[in-house]
Order: sequence, then structure tokens, then C-alpha cells
Amino acid sequence: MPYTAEISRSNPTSIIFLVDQSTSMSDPIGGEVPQQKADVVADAINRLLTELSVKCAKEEGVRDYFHVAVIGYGATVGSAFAGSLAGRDIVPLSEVADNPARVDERSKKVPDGAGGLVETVVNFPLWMDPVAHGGTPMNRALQYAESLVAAWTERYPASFPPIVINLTDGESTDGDPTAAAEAITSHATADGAALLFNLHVSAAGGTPTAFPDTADGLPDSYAQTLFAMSSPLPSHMRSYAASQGQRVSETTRGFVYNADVTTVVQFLDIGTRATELR
Amino acid sequence: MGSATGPQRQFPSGADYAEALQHTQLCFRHPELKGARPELTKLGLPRAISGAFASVFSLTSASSGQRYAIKCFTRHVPDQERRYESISSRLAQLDPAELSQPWNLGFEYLPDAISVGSHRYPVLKMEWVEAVTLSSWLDDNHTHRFAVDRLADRFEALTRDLATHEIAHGDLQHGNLLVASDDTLRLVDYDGMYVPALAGMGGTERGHRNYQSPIRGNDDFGAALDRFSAWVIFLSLKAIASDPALWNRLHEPSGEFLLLTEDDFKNPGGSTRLQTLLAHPDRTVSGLADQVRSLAFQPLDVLPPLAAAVPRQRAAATTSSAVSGGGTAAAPGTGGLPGWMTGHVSPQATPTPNVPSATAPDGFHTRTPLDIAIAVLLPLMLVAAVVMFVAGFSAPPIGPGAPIVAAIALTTFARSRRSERAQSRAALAELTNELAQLDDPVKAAEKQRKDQAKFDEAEAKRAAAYPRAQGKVTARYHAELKEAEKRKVRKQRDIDKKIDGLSEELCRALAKALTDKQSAYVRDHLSRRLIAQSPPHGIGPKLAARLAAAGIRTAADFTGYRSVQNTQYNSTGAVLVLSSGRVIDVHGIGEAKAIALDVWRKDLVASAKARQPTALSASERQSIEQGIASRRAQLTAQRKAVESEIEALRVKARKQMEDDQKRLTRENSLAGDQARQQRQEFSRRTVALQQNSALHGTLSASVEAARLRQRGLSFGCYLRFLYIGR
Repeated sequence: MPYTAEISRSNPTSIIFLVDQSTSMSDPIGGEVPQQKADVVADAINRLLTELSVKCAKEEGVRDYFHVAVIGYGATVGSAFAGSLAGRDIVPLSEVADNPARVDERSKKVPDGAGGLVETVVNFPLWMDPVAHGGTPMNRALQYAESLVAAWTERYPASFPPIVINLTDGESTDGDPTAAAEAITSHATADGAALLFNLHVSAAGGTPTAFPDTADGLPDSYAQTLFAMSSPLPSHMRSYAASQGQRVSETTRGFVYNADVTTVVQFLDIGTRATELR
Repeated sequence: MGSATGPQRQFPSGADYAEALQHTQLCFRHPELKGARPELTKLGLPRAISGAFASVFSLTSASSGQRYAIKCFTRHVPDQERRYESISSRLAQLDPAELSQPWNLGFEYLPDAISVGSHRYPVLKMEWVEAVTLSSWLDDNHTHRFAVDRLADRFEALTRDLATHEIAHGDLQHGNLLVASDDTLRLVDYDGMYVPALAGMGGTERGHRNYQSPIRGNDDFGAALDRFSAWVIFLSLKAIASDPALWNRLHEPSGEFLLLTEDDFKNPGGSTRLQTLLAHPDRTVSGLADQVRSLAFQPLDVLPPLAAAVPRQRAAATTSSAVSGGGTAAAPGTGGLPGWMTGHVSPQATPTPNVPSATAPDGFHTRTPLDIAIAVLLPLMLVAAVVMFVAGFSAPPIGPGAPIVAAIALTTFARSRRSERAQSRAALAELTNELAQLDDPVKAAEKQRKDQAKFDEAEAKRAAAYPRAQGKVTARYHAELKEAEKRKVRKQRDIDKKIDGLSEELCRALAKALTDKQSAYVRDHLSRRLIAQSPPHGIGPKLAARLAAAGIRTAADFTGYRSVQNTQYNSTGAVLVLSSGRVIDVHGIGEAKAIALDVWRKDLVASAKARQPTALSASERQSIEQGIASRRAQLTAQRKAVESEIEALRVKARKQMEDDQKRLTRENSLAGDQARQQRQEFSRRTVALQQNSALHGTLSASVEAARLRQRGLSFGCYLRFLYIGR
């Protein structure tokens, strides 16, 4: 059965984030508190990198169960890491964990134990900064990811296949991305084909369409294209999505249209959910 | 795996806890934990040690200075509180004096202890233990044979403690067995522990797969849970104690196992690691390895406890070297258990894959009576030869060489009777055969590379062909649209011409209708003037009667006359022209009379024309116009029909195009699926290739060793053996 390979240091998997950095990402995202889409996406990825680091932390330190790439696309296409990882593509998680660009202090309200809230400061490591400048060269970004995926599957033929997560807010400005998406998912390890998930971030608000299993009811051909590009969720991600209150079926795909802030975070959580880590 | 079906409580993630623990003053209420100082990473975040169900943080109490391990749960575990309470109270009952070593750790389950976001969650507050995991301890200590052997015995004692109290840990493995500074063991992580009070409940986990029987299932939960893993760990420790080099040979630096993995239990035949242990010269090691191999396919509850088997095993281990030479050590391929194991393992048939044979004993062992006889005879024969030579006994048929020849023949015969030779030959043949059956890894890799290159090339072609085919379909569609458009324009232009001509046609029809009406009026007028009633000048009743007889009664009956040259009389006559165009010669009508008739008629015509109608009546006009309008309607309908005919063509072409595109997409995605499967297959083959290459290496080494061993059975060696016994 595909997508059951245990993830270990000798058989790690890679997670490749493709982050839309086009000008429109500076628009506010739908939701209660107005925030720029680029900020929400950058925050979600930074938070996820912390999450992965904690999840893979063992006695001796962070283990390289995952190797991570964050690729931005807008005015240019390339690594979106800032700080000492700038310019790097796929980086082992232990190195990611140790090398954020900086650690911000963010204020946060927490319960004071007496029924009230008190403002505290928490450390928040950052690996990438929000950028919103340029077009949406999704084709080039997918092709970039494909070259990373191709090299990875060759290097780790027995591993859980690479996961590519594309976060975008608009239509590709360099042509139909379908063929480039297919090229990614045509690569496979012994455990299955590479996975491509797509997250469309909303500016409009409205109800998100999360993890659909059919293109019926999607508002336009753009959404249908993104749906068609998205891989079905492997079974462990399906059951996790179900436990998170999502409605899923056997053919549910890794695709969210019109995501709001909560859905962005949840989507990343589900899409990077690993099989057993050993 | 926690596949969630019902509504379950959501737990915070590891990072959520790490964030909350930045303010222990706020997140805890427990006096020991409130304000406790967490150990931090270099980024200033609380340092976690994470597992599948929880993250553990180290906190030093602000009030007592005591250090704790705080386990924060990231997943729902059914009946968690009840489980921990049962386990905690069972462990609390253990008398430390009765335990082999202080392996159990105190812990306390604290419900609603930590506040994360707006909710409170339980934590497990555990004693912090200063110890290292078994795997890192082995990294540092595997060369200390005595220490490792002692640890193996301590581990065995620990499993005996557990068995005595009907406790099973559920996940014995290198990460949950810690070694303290005095080299005694500590057992941590009690999440999946079985104690008698939990009988009847299900397990919460399946344990580390590199330590568990391949047939352990989700529902296995009971006192026998640890048996397989105990054998695996004991085997590993004993093997390292016997042969420290095994740690570097079989263990991978970051491997999540000691010496053996799940694959080795599942597929012993293809396992280099298990084969190495099975073929190990130390019978304790090979015996334990064979035990593990056979236990892998037996139900958990019939597995012998490690504690019960060990005393006998020890006795066997100490005597094993004394009874050397008793055949092959582990009897691989037969599935038989070593003698010391009989009685502890159910004699159930186990699947035993065909594996390359292990070692035959080195050199010759244990002289038989034949060997002793030869040993006695040989010097006698040599002496005989010398005596014969000295005595000059040199008759050609039995010279002094004869005893030597006889000695060589006898020795050769005796050597050929030695079982070691047959064994060694058989072992070598089997190994060589095994090796021959394996593909040459270099060739196989080359073939794989070629296949893959060929496939990649075909894929590149396919990838390029797809948009081309799509383009072709689109181009054909456009060409059909263009052709249809041309046809439409042509047909409509014809119809438009006809429509344009209609107004002219109307004028013509109206004019013709008027002319017809007028000529009808004139004809009518003429037909009313009978020649007999108002005869023209010179036409009498007689002539009128003749004319009437010829069919000319009225002015309408003729249209004129024609002069006729009468050649017979050389005179000019005339014939009358009837309205039908026929000419008729009426007797008595000469040229003059004909002219008179014609003048008469012309006068009548002129007077009729003066009174003829000059326009059509409204109804006549309308009827003509209606005819034209209906023609116009007909043509317009035709024009429309062309439009819809072409539209139908367009729709058909479009459908054809869409069908073609769909078919192309379908074919392409089918080909894509196949390509994906093919790539998966390639990856699978690469993995197999790597394994194959390792097995090939091991087998080659074994063949080499077998050859060496065979060299140890040479004639010279046999001679030595005859007298030295080795």
C-alpha cells in the first residue's frame, strides 16, 4: 500500500513549500482581524517550522526526519529562507531548527489563572519574511519544485515521497500550470508518487472549500484547475483531517479554496502530517 | 495509529506546549511546577523530547530545586487517567528490595495541570533520571565486553522482575531502556504498560517495530507483550558482548535498532544481519539468533519468557565449546531448535526460508578409529620403505616405493572418509549456488540505469507529444470552423442575391399583370365585334358567312393578313392570319378585302386601347405582392436554415474536438499513472538492488571463508590432524 513508509533518519522525507509572493499578497485576508495574506502565510510557515522542530526533537537534538525547502515566487523564483540559510533549497530539519533568521518577541494574551487575561511576551523564531512584489510565475515555481523532487526521489528511493505544498492567492501569470504540476506528481519513490497540495488564500472572505473530492461546485475554472492539480490525501492524512473535524472521503484531495487564517494553519498541519516517525 | 472516528478532545501540539512553558508562572497551578525553570534550546524555547503521543520537557522546580520530566500529551489516549493510575499504584507496590535494580521511576498523573490557550490539559510529572539511552550507552561502551555482558544479564533480571509481577512494558527498545551511571537499567515511558488491573482493555500502541514480532497486532495487550522484544534485546547484548565488532558492523549510526530490524524478522532468508548472527561461531549467539528467527512467526502468548530460558541457556553456553564438532551450530534450513531450547519452545512448524548455510567447523575434529589406524600404520610403512631401501630390496614390482604408495593411498582414502570434507564441499557448493542465483549487482545496477534512462527518454517524448497532439486537435477544430463559416457565407450570399432580386421581380410582375389585363380587355372588346353585324367596308353577308365558316367571326379571331403572290395568275392575293398564328385563305378575300378587314380591326383595336384600364386593382396588386412576400419569407427561412445547419456543424466539430481532447487527457493521465507506477517500480528495484548488493557482499565473503576452510582440509592438514588432533 502506498504512503505507509515510516519516516526515519535513513529514510527521511522532504517538504517543499511554494509561497506566492505576488503583489496581491499584500491584500488583506478574509477573516475577523484584517491581516495581509503574505503575513499570514509567512507566520503559518514559520510556526510550522517550529512545530516540526519540536516534533522531531529527541534526547540528542532535532532529528532529520524531514528536509525542508521554502521556495518563494513573485518577482523572482528561489529560496525564501532569510538569514544564514538564505539561498539554500532543501535543508535538513536539524539545520533549519538551529538557524532561524532571528527570534522575534511577540506579545500574546494568556489566561492569568484568575479568569482574566494577561499580556506576555513569547519567543517566535522566524525563517522567512513576508514578501509581496511581482507576478505569479506559478509554472516556474512548480518546475523548480519538480527539479528538487526529481533529485530527492533518486536519492531516497525507499522514502515516503516528497510533499509539495503550494500556497497562492491568484492565477498563474506564466501559463497553465497543469503540465508542470503533473510533472511533479509523476515522480515517485517505492512508497508512492510525490504529493502536491494546493492552498488558495482568499481575499474575499466567504466560506472556504476545504478538502473537496469533486470539482463540482467550485466557483470557476481557476479553482477547478487547482483542484485537478492537487493529489488525493493519503489515508493517514485523511484520518487526521477527519479527527480535526473536516469532512473527507476516499477521494478527498489536498486542496483548499478561499482559505481564511484558521484554515491556512490547519491545512499546513494536515498536509505535513507524517506517518510514524522512527 | 489514532485513526479518529468519534469526536475526540483536541490536544495542543508540541510547539503549543513549548510556547506555554515560556511562562510557567502562568500555565501551572501545581506548587512544584508554578514558576519552574524549563531547560531551553539555544533559541530560547523550552527544549522538548517528542514521541508519537507526547512531548517531554525538563523543568526544575522553583520551590524545591527538584528536576522533573513533564510529559505533555499531544494526542488523545483512551482511558488515560485510569491507565496511569493503575500503573502508578502497581509500581508503587513493588518492594525495592526485591527488584534486581531500581528500574522503576515514580510519576504522578496531574489532570488539568497545564493551561494552553484557553483550556487546561493533564500532564505526567515524572522523576528526572540521569541516564543515557541504551543505544548511546552502546555507542560508548560496546567494546567493554564485560560491561555489556553484565548489562545483558541485568536486562534479563529486569524482564524477570516484570514477569514476576505480571507487568509488561509494551515497548521495550533502545530509547526506553536507559543506563544509569552505575550501569544499571532504568525503564521509562509507561504509556503502553500492561498491569493486571488493566486486563481486558486494549493496547494503546504496538511498540517499536524493530523490536516487535511481525505478528503483534493492535489488540495484543497482556503480560506476554514484551517476550519477543526481550529476546531481541538479549540476543543483541549477548552478541555484542561476545563480539564487540558486531556493533559497528550491524548497527547503523542513526539506526533505530540495535542489531536487527523488522525486515530481519520478517524475511530471515534475505537478511544479511540475521545471517551474520546465525553463522556466528559463538554458539550462544547463533543459538539466540535462531531462537529469535523461529519466534518471529509464533503467537505472542506461546513465546517462552526470556527469564525461564536463560538459566538453561547459560549452562549450555558454558559447555558449548566442550562439545564442539557436533555438526553445524544453528542447523539453518532445518528449522530445528538447538538442544538447549527444547522444552521451552513449542515444536510448532515455523516458516524457514532457504538460507545459505552457516559455517562448517574449521579443520578436522575428533579422530575416528580409521584415523588412528592410519596414524599407526603410516610410520610403520615409512619404516618398511626405509628398511627395504637399506636392504637393497629392489625387485621391480615391489620396490621400496611400494609401502610409500600404499601409505599415500591409505591416507587419501581415510581423508576422503572424513565428514568435514563432504560438509565443507557441500557448504561451498551451496554458497556458490546461492551466489550464482543472485544477479551481479554491478550488472544489475547498469541494467537498471539503462532501463531508467530509456524510460526517461520515452517519458520526455511523451511529455512533448501530448501538447503537440492537443495542438493538432485544436488546429483541426479551427480548420473545421473556418470551412463551416465559408460554407455559410457562400450559401447565404446566394440567398441574399435572391432576396435582393425580389423587388425587381415585383415590378416586373406588376407590369406584366397590367399588360395582361390590358390585352385581355382589348381581346374582349375585339371578340364582341362580330364581322356579320358591323362589317367593314366591302364585306358583304356572303363573305362574312364564308369568314365565319373559316372560324373568323369577330375581330379577335384574326390578327392581320399576309399578301400572297399568286404565281398562277400572276396576281397578288392575301391570306388571313388567325390569332393562333395559322394562315387561312378565305375564298373571296383578296388583298383589298384583307386590307379592309385589317383596317377595320386596327380601328377597333385603337378604340379599345383608348379605353383600356391603366392600373391594376388593389386586390390584384395585393395578390401579386403576397406572392412575392411569401417568396421572401421562404428565402429568409432558407437563410436561417443555413445558419442553424452551420451551427450544427460547429457544434459537431466542437464536440469532436472536446471528445478528442478528453480522450487525449484520458490517455495522457493513464500514461501518467503508468509512468508513476513505473517510477515507483524503479525505486523499488533500486532499494532491492541495494539490499541485493549487501547480500551479494556477505555471500561473497562467506564463499571466500568457505574456500579458506576447504584449504584447511588439505592433505597436509590431514596429516597434521592425524598426530596433533587439530
